[in-house]
Amino acid sequence: MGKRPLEGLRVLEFAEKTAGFMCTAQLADSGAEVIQIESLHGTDARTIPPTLEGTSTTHMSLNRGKKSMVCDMSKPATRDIVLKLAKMSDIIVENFRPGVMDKLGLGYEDIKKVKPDIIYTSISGFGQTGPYSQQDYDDLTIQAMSGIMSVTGPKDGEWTNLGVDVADYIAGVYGAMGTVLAVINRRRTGEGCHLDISVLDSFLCLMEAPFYMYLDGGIVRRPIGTKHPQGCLFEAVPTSDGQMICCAAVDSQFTKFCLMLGLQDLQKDPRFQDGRSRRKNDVDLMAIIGPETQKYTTKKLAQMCIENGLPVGEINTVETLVEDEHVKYRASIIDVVDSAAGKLKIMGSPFKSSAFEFPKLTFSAQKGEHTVEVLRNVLGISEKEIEEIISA
Amino acid sequence: MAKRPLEGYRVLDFTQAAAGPMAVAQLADFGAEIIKVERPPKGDDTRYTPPSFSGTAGYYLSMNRGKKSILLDFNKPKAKEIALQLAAVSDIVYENYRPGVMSKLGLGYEEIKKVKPDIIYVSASGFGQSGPYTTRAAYDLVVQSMGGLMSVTGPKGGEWTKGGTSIADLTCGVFGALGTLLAVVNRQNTGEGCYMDVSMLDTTMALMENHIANYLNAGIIPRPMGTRNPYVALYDRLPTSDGEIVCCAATNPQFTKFCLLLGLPDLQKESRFATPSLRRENEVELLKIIETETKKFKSKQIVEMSLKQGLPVSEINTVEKAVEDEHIKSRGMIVDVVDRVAGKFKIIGSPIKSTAFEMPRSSFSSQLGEYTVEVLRDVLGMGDKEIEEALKEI
Repeated sequence: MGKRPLEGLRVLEFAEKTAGFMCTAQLADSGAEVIQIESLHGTDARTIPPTLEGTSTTHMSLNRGKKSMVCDMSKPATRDIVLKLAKMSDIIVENFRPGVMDKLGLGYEDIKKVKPDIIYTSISGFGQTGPYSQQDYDDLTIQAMSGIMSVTGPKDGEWTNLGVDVADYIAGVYGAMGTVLAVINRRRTGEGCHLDISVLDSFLCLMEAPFYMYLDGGIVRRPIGTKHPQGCLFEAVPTSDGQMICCAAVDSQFTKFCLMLGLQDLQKDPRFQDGRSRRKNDVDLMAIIGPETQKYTTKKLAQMCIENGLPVGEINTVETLVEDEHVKYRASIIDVVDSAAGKLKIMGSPFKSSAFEFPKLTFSAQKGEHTVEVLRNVLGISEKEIEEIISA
Repeated sequence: MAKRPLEGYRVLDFTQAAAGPMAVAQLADFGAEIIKVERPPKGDDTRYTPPSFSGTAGYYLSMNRGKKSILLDFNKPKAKEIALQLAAVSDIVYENYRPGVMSKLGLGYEEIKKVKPDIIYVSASGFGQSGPYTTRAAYDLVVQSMGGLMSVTGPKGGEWTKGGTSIADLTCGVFGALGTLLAVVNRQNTGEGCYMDVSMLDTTMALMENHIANYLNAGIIPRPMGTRNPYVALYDRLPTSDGEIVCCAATNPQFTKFCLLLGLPDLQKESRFATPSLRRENEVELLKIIETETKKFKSKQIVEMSLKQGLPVSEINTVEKAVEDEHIKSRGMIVDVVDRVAGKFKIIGSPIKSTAFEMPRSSFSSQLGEYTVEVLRDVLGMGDKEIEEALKEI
């Protein structure tokens, strides 16, 4: 296997929120050397429970493969060192509120003076411009503002958010995508740039269907559980030991599904003749289908559906997911070694490539673990000077 | 503004539905020329997803912005020949058929590599190109369910539900575009192309990473909590006199500010509410006190007051309200797409803004096969007569 695509590129990370961490995690997975600049008390990710030997699992997962350097930004000498590091770096990723890095004297214009072709990626809640740019955010407020909650939840029930920090994560992935795009651009033009990524903008890209249905068709959507708004059968069905997702909304799929359950005449019923009628009469339909699917275990029904080429999904929990034979085969869960907490397991990069391999083993750093190494190896500062800097 | 980074790149797009088209739409945003190969007679099924308009549909317009549509019937030998000729002058092939289908059509990675040795070939699929589920059929709902996302989404103690949009499909599209760019950088580094295998299950698991790390290393089992944070409070929805808001005031300084604003200056002094985790532990009592106060205000009022204090608080938008939001509009997140037949529509814009290049503020969508002749003429250099012959055979 060859080198990973970003090997040889150095990234300085100034992040305090998940979106920034997620962005540089992708860059680290892809081979970049990432140096996380932390304040004296460390990033907030280090305190998120649960912690093992003082190391947060969130930190181990999101800050995999990054070196940690502690800097006291209130000291003028620190800024000089950071600028020297910036000069030796290719990419800066920051996710403070717009304006904060400028106030520290580390904004795009400041860095550009010492490193003209720097790629400077800013990730913020609402972007560098616009009326909300100075507002604080959290994943939940972005999900609420995006409209996703108004289409998520049980039918006629409580509106809910997605149970993961999906807005922050997606902004991180878009941040990484923009950064790699800027790397391609720099190779063509010799020039760096400032990238402005917002968590809200990024998450809106996952809002596709309800947005264009409303914008272009005037259709208003509300939560409908796992159901499909237009087609049926496309939802959870009961089994003898739980429930399972069945997708047989296309007429030919529905015919197969009925045959499989011994209900060959069902589709002749005008209430169930096409996807729309089935959706309209889904309560009646489920009253007939439910007792049939309940005759089988989830495993058996899944097997029958797969044999008939029907899309079917076990409703995994995290516990069953990580034990799944396919997930194990794909080897997406990797080892991470922390100098204090030892060897642990996290989700790795989701890509597989024929040309380069994403790490199967990575590390997580204790706060400031690499300060000396970075001063010595990146800036070439002597041991004596390092001692002076650290004691100051 | 200068050229966009992928200008000069050509992508041969064999994708349909959502996970593939979403990835390629972003490559179009970045400046690549996209030739979308559709199969007669109907082309991509999403052309017919309601609401649809004169041969196109909202779904299609949104995911296939900036792509040229050509028609090729792979049952005919000439069509395959033309596909290979197009691959030979392309940089990237993107496909999302079930694993094995492209190879059967004679258009797998090995075949394309023969005519274009440095091709970047990206396969997106439900479960990846390897492993026991590789040929299983996948829809977004199937993968949200299998990826564990449903087991952490829904009201507390209530029905497990899926995210209300095609999160698994779209996330696979976002990661797929990132993977493609990484392969472009790799080709710049080495001169060599590669094969990329991206799956909806793997990328959905990337969104589950925190839950996976917490379970595997600390044994924590996550279940739906509604809008609550599992560890800290106040981080939840709150009732108002005319609806609900979400409020993230979990840290001590945030909580203090929020209490002051509600006229509850002494609340944090109580030992049961002294820290974020104690507040979480005594959440029922806490909410009883807080909710009595928040119900005295309108949503808009309380959001305004909170924002002045720098607190992350928001009304719960519907799509109808979000699209009217002045900030979302000012960020250029709603852009026009023009279809020659169906007219002008609105779709979501690009979330990447750069000082060096500009993402399109409007784009086009094409009718089925609208660009077949143009591509044969301009990309493959065929003459009019040759095109006329070819059209009968593809």
